[in-house]
Amino acid sequence: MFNPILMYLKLAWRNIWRNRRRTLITVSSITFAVLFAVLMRSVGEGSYDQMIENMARFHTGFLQIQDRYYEEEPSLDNAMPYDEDFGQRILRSDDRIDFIVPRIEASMLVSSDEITRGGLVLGVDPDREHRLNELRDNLVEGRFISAGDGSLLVGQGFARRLNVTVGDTLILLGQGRFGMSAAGKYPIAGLLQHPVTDLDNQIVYLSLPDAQWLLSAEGYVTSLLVTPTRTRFTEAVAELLRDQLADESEFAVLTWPEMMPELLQAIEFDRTSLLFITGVLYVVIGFGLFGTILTMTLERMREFGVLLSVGMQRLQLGFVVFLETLFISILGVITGFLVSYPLLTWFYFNPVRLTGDAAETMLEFGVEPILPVSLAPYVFYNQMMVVFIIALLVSLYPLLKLLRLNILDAART
Amino acid sequence: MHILLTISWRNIWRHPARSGILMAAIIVGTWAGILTAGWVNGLLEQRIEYLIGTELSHVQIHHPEYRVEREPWMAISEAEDVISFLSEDERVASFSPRTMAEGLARSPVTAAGVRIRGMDPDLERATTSFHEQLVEGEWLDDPVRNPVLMGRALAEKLRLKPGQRLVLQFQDLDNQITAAAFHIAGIFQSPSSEYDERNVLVRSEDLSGLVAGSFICHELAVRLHEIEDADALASDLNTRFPDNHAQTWFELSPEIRYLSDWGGIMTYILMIIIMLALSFGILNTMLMAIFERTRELGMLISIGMSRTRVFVMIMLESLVLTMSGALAGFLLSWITIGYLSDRGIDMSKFAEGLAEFGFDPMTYPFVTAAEYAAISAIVIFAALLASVYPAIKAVRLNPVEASKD
Repeated sequence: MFNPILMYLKLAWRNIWRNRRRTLITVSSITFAVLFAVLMRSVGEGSYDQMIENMARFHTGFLQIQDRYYEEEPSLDNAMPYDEDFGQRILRSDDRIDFIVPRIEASMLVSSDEITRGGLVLGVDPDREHRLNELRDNLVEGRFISAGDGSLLVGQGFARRLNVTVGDTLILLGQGRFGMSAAGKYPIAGLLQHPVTDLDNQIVYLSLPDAQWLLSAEGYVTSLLVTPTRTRFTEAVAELLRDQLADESEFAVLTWPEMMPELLQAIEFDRTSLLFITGVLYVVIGFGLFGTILTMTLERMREFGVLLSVGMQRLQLGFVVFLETLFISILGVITGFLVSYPLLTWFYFNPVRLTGDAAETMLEFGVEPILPVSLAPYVFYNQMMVVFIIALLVSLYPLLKLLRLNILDAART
Repeated sequence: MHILLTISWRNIWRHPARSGILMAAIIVGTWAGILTAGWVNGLLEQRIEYLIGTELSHVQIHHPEYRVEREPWMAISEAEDVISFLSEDERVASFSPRTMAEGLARSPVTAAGVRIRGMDPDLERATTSFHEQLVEGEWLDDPVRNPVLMGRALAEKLRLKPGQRLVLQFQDLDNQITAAAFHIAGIFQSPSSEYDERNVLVRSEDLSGLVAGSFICHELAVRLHEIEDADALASDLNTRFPDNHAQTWFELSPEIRYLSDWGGIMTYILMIIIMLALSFGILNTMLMAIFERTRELGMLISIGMSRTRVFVMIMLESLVLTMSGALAGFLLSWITIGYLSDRGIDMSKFAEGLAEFGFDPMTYPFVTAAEYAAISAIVIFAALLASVYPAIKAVRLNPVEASKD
């Protein structure tokens, strides 16, 4: 049975392989277009991910459960009750939750024999904290703390400011829960080099039970950090926890954009400028593709002319040319993916390392001096779609040309 | 050579549509690339000017250890001599001595670690424009006893309002912990809420009295007439007063170094990606054109044109095309940048949040000669990349086969 659509498809498919060289060039144009578009987007998104990850790991975490007054008034009086049962309940509520990190936090005066400084005292579960930000690897001297061992870790910069080292004793002085005075003496178990210079100069880590006792806050934490298995699950997990904790009105669930609005702002601003540059890239890609297609069209004028002269209808021919374009665009986009995915995966695991002054300053800010890339599926999907659409738009040109072709002129070229 | 150049030029214009499109791509690519570089520069300069203007100033003098240890006793030695040196130096526009302390700010609700910055209200106002960040209340010349200014973020954290009291706790010269009550005279809000949360401003005489009993100065911020004099003045000060350490704005701020390094790297990476995309577009088009022209090229080779000449001719076509496009792009961007650097780009439409964070929505882009040079290098590289392969393909043609087509 004669099926015209099938015939057109066959014709188009044969046409594109009739001149293999021409097809390969056009396909490679699209392939490179996809590659560069994905590359640009991936480098951009990668650096945002790195920024978010860094801030989350070393500052607030991806999302936190707090007492609902704590955000407004971060005082120990607004700490939330916490025990292992509660922790397990949260952890088990969804399998997108990777682990939880309880913290109690207070600003206190920290004194060595002669020197006193304002410091940030963080009561942590050492193992869980390590899981969040590899704290143990930042130890430069001494040993790590364990739960309730009555010793503390101090930032290297802070230790220098206090003129103390491992084995010395620090006095912590401040206010506990409900105005209780908090004072305690703790030997220094180890020195840490905190990646964020600002924190390195003021941070003290105690184990959670020690800190709770010091601050008269047994059974309380100031925040419970919840780490989702993927950064992009943050919002979904937050929604779910909000639902779960809806009956217990004392809790609030906060995500990193709520806790660090400036970071989000900075990223959004950067995204806007990247959007402009991506737009430019699309224009460049579009022109490049157009150049290729235009040349191809010129080359095929004679062929078109002959086909029209022997009686093929313009619309039929147009349809075949459109199908050819469609095949070529699909092929190009697919090979584009096949080329860019392994390349970016390689860059993901072996990121470009920056050196020189820039690297130094990045380290000062606690940022690893690499050029990170993102492998998020939407980066690939979006860019492939955009390039595909550009390719189809550009391919309208041969169609237009065909519809207005003068048969006599064409056959003469 | 001259003939080849002429031939190439004519070949380019035998297909005005194709060459026009490629040239348009090159013009748009270079133009947008340079514009982006200029815009990033503008943003950066704005940020640097803000940091210099509000706090950093051009040169700062400290005790050599002060910036790390921040001990109360690490004051500037021979402060009076330094001050009289500065008042006589013609490069100096103004300077502000500051007394600093690290401590704890306490409200009835909670406490926060802060840096206490003591300053002379008039000298500080002449040196920096930080007073413009004040959103509520008065600058430090308020007649109340022990006035203090704090950031909006800290005020919210401590739940305090202007007119209320807060207790500042810090060490004095003998390492004794001292505490004093201060009256909140005003609230400031700078672009960085982190800064707002970690700094409070008081009068240097009040703080000096509490820390040392008499005038003491930990930091001297110097504003110059010309920013270019910063290096010279810093080295003069370091020779003259070896017990102190003078540093320029660039050495002082890690943020500035970070921004200028990272901003520069990103601009070049994006520029390189655009140029690579461009050169592959050109490469593919030229390649396609070569195959279309096999007959012509075969003919040229058959009638005795040497393959080297064919190679050079094709190379020249791509190169000339790219270079003239790039030249037009440079010219266009030079005009655009010139225009925008006077008028500025109003970004309030793009990111309405910016103003909220104290950023001026107007940016004035500029591009330095070095950047023009670097971008030219990238363009030349891209052009070469795009031209070599088609030229190689062209010389590999078999003349007998080719002219049969």
